[in-house]
Amino acid sequence: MAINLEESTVAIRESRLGGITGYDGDICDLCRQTKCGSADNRERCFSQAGSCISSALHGLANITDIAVINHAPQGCTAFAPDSLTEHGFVAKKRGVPYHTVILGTDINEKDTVFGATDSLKEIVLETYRRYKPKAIFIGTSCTSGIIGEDIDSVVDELKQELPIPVASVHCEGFKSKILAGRFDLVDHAVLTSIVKPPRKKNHKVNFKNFNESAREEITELFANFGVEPFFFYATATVEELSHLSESLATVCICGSLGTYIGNALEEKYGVPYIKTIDPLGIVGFETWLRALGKVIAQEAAVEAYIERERALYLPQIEAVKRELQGLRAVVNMGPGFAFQISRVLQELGIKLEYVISLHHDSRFDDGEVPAFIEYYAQKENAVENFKVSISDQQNFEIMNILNAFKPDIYLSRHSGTTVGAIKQGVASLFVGDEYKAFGYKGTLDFAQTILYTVKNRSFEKNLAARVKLPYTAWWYKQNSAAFLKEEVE
Amino acid sequence: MSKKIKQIAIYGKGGIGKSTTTSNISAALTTMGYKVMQFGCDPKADSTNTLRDGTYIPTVLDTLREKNKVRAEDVIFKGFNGVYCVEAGGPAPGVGCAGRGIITAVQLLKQLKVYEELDLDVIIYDVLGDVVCGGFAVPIREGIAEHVFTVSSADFMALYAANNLFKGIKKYSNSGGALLGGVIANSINAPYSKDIIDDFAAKTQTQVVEYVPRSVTVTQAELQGKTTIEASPDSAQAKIYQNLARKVIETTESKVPRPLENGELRDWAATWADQLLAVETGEIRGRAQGI
Repeated sequence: MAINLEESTVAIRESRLGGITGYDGDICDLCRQTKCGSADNRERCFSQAGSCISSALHGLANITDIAVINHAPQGCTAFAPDSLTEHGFVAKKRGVPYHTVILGTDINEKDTVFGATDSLKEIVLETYRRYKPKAIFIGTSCTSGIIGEDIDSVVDELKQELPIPVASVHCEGFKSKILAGRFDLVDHAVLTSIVKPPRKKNHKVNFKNFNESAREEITELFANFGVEPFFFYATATVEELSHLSESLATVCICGSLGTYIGNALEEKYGVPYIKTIDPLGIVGFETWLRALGKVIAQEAAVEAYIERERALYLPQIEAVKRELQGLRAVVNMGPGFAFQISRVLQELGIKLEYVISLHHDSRFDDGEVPAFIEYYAQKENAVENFKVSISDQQNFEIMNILNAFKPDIYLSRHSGTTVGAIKQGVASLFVGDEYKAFGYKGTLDFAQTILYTVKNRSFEKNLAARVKLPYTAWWYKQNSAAFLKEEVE
Repeated sequence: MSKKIKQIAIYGKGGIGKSTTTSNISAALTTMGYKVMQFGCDPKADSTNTLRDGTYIPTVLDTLREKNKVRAEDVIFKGFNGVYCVEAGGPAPGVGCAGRGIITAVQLLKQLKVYEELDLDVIIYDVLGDVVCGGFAVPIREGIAEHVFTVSSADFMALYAANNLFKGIKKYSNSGGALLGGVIANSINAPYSKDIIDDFAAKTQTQVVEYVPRSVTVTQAELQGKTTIEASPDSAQAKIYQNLARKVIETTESKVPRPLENGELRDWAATWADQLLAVETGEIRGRAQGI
């Protein structure tokens, strides 16, 4: 599947990867449908999702020395203070400076009628004059998209006038229902404006992640194999990102997060991209590490490491695992985590009642089905079939599922939904840290946290007894997929 | 209590003679004693030229661009026989959003509450007629015009635009929007033109309000920057416009049209194409077919 870096934007996942946001079935069926072409989407006749791909701009602002200019009405840039605070924290924790600014062009009524590319250009030039960022990214909005603002021409002109990279990010919210499309928009903007062809190879491994909480641990891990991780986009600079093409390999903590840049770097610059199941849980970590070891020619060192660490951690993991047997779980995450955490839970002997994923891609950017599909499709790995819902933040469906299955634990990467589960009396774990189940140590920590979470459930019980939720008895009697329409082409 | 102002919208494909027709209706109505405002809703902003000796007036949107607050006297100008002229204006071709411009301009004028102060009898909106987006449909939505007329020739592209307008009217008809007064048939000279337009009106369940022939009198008047009513008040063409104006102002009941579906419209056009070809090739057909 060709990645086209000559275009100013990347196609949405619905058309590029066969991405869907509506499905209800089980993992065996999802594997079958995915492998036989693509999984069928079912539209909802009622929807309550509340995010959009314009959050690509929040993602870009992870980079520490750029300006993000949102060509939008003022409210669309309301994310800026939160975004800068969050990214600033991560940089501060690592001890690196954070100078990125986010500005909005404040498209108003007059701009909507007459167009505002002139003022956009002025704002970009003034932003450069005041802040001297190392690159400027111009985000589009629904408003600029509908009135057909010619952002790309402005970018072309600015490239001639400014000594830094300038790129557009076409993130009109109405284009796609798949929130993960925001990752691709960031990657495309960085690939087309910042990444340079390799000058000389280095000993780094590109590591795409979110908040790099395991920076030290992974740096130590990689030192065993004579390589160094380069984490992005948090705390990364434009200069560092320009060398992405020179690394030995690219890895990612989440297949959904890494598909575009990983495959693009491989296709365009020959940087191998590790496409195995993700390094969560024992099986995931070992599969991933062995694949990386092969690419960097460190197989022996990897095997030695695995043997050493297994001896240290497996007995401890087994001890906790014994206490987890028979627990029942509901999982709700993006696809990169939902179907990886589900695998780890099965490794720990926990029964999966329902796995809810924000969306599902039938292919990744190399044209292959996601590795987790191959994993689950293999007979020996199909520990036990489980129910699957593809649901883009449809909380009413999650509440229905939780009410119907009353699991021992609910795991989510979206903190708001854990509150809903707790109010139903379900012990909940917010898996906000992407490294929560990373490697042996992470798997042990994850297992222990689950145990602590389910051991004392008095808080959930007490809260549930005193809270009235907005859902009616009628809704709880319906199937959670009641608002999914029949399959559409 | 203030009197009810009659609000009329006249749509038509670009270049079909809609501004000429509208200006002549406005001019004729002033000669009948009505207080009239003509509101041009086309980014070209030339709707009211022939009411003001061929001159352009500052548009609502241009004024809004330069000032934060727009006053009535900045955008309302008197023309022939006291007709009030307003032009919405719009962005330069290829930028911004002309549809949003019409929404902004129409809302602004409403907010200024000048209609009551000017003691108007009638407001005529002259709108670019392809109704390509929500903005161009504003005058037919709730609270603006009550009666809509469309200017059309027997040209199929003009009828296609009229059919689109009918779709818009039908869509808003359940929510208090304007209804269709009828078709103003323009440039009707060839014998088959009248038949085509009559057939279209019958198919879409509307009526032809008036047949306006192409006339050199109109061209001569326009070259002077005037309406026919002003330049040649006693001409036959002026009489036609006066009749048309009377019918328009006296319209009290408008209807929901029955727009043709795209396939239907194509098939209908194809049958006429066959008949016109038959005329050209000298094939003899029955009189009932009107050719």
